[in-house]
Amino acid sequence: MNKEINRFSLHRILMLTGIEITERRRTLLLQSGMMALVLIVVACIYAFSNDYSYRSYTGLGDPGTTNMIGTYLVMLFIFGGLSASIMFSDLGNKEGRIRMLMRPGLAIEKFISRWLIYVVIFIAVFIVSVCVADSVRCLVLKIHFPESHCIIPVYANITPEIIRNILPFHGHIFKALIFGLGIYLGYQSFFVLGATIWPRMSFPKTFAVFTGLTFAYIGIIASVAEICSDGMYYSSKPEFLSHNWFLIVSLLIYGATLLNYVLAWLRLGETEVITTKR
Amino acid sequence: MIDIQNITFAYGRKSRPVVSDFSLRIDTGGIYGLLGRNGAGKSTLLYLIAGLLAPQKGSVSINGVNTRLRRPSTLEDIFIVPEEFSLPPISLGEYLRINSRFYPRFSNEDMRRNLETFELDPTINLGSLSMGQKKKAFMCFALACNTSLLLLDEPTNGLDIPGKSRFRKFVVSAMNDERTILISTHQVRDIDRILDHIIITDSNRVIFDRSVADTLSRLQFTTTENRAEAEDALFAQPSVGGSEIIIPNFDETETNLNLETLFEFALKNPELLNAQFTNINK
Repeated sequence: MNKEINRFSLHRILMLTGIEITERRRTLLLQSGMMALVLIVVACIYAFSNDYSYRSYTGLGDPGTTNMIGTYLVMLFIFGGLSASIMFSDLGNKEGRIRMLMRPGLAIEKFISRWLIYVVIFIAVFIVSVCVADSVRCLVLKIHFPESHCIIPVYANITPEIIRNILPFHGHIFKALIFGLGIYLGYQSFFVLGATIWPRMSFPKTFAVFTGLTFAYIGIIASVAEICSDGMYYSSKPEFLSHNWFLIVSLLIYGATLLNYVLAWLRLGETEVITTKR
Repeated sequence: MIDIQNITFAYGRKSRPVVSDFSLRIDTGGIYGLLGRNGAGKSTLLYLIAGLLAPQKGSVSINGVNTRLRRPSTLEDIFIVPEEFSLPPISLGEYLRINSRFYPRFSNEDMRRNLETFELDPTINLGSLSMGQKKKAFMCFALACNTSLLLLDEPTNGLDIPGKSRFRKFVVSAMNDERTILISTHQVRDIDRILDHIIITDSNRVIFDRSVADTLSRLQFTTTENRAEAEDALFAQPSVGGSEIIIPNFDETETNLNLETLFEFALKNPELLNAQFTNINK
């Protein structure tokens, strides 16, 4: 009986997820609302600050779509980092640590339950917020340019044809999506790891360390490449690398993401009620 | 049941150990009082028992399982009510619905009875309660979970006078042979009548570890205005109207335990106190 209780349990993960959502629902709703509000403001500011002549534009589609998608992607990275940073904010005080550590469950179950909320569910909430923000943007533009016929929400561009282009796994769009998702998850995983190391002020601390490490890695890799290549800048890459660069880079990115998650899980397992310096 | 073996713990590399080569064994069943001065490490000991801290040396195990492993089977059989805690701003009903599932022996009937003891409304919202009311609500839940081990850290802090009286009744009513309650406190008057066993710690070691029955069979607790009697006693403490004294119980008279005086005696002369329990000839 004890052995079964001590095994990894999906049911317990769902119970832990339910607890976190129920106990923190006011905070989560407030944070989601703030995110939506910021997206609305950014969308509206960006729409009016760019000189798109909605009155006289005769082309197909909304002229601001590309830049709005870029803006929303930047906001995804910012809010994704913030969301991951608050994943273990309750570990920032003794009461929160006792509550979390004493709740029956394995460390990995507690980690996954938080990951589901602050990484997976967050993406869904973000997409909904983007749809709301872009709808407000279009509404405001429509009021400002009532005769314009090219004000189209970004999400209206997701047509069955686009989905058909994504579906083939060997297609370029699918590969780009997987690569982009990997970049995003990899970037966010550093904030997940940072949240277990610094429960308080996690976002700025992780960002500072992440930026510093990135520059350090780039510097080291560039120096090593310079030394190894020994001036042979035009030597050709091995054929294997040329044909499979997408696979290799994706594996590296997803591997780094998984490594960060594992480190975060192990760090969570070692958490104590009072931080000791040993 | 709780086996603490030669544990040493310090909060920092260069800090003085809070507990040093500390050993203790607590059997199943009974209400244990863990007493000590401020800063003696009582709360730290509770955290070590619960697996919330890892000792640098030694081990703490409950029913043979190291608590530091934090296995779900161990965690669902321990409940700790810390001195300071927070409750989410949700209704009590919701709190019970989502948290009781983690404790297989949780009883709604016990919860209802506990709430009645503390005169708490079952429809309350936890976010709107005062600190004392939150403590009562949390303790009601703690006892209703029916864990084998219940750790209470300064449980009467923040309780009003009726609350302290109800707390005693509340704890005693929840006792059975399979349950152990360990109460860490310096408010000895609040718990002296409900304890089965007394553990007094000082300078990171156990200086007294006896059952109440054993203590009362060896010692008498009384008051006297006679100065000579006070001077002949094992221990005397000035009080209003005389002295509170502890004398050997040669004639097996049963007296009421004076935990405050016993505590002071243990701190001031632990060797003399413990000698009363090793001396067979009364």
